[in-house]
Amino acid sequence: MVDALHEAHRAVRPGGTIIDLRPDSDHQPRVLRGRQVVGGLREQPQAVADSHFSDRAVARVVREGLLKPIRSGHFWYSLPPMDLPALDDWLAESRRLGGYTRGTHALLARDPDRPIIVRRALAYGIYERR
Amino acid sequence: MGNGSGDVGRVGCPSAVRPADDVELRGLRAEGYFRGKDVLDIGTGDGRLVWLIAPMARSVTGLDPDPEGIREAARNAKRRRVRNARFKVSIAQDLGVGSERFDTAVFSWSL
Repeated sequence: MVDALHEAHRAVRPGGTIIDLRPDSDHQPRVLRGRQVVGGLREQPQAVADSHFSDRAVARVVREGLLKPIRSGHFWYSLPPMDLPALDDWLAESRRLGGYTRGTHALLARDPDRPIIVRRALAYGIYERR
Repeated sequence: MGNGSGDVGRVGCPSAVRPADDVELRGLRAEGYFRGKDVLDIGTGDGRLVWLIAPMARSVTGLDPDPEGIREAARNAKRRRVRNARFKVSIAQDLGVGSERFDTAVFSWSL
């Protein structure tokens, strides 16, 4: 991660911008039916560890004086509506998400054909290349 | 696959579970970092963000370690008639851009 940031630093002109955009491990994905949040999804422990590793890499390169933070934050977006079997399949294949939070699947299974919306948070950081 | 289409669908490829419209750029509120700039998209995949950045940027270079993704991106660029985008197979630790310099680099889900 640090190597990648150093390489990006090399490729960007002084005064330029480096943007880090990725899923936000600090905000668990939400499962909605209609407008109501009915549960959540868990991230794989490895995905959370990787995300924290990336956070530390960015912090290190900032400490090295190569990047100056401009602003950071997170925002939410919705996946296309899907049914429960589709969500099950997606979670089974996902390297990042590890399943449902307690009680979520049982609740969704009561009405498996009703559309489900998953909302995920994306974290971003915008940095000036020093 | 468009967000908000109302379809109940199965989700397969990684791009399908990422925002399909300009939600990321709107969320970033970073248009000023792209307009008229030479932009690197690191982890471009099939060029999903490139199509949104290219109309405002001077140039966009999409990089990804997946050759199939890059081939798909190049095909998409041709089909979309995007003339200021190019694509290259490379890893984030060695971007392979030589002495070329850019105004903005985006790590798209790749850090």
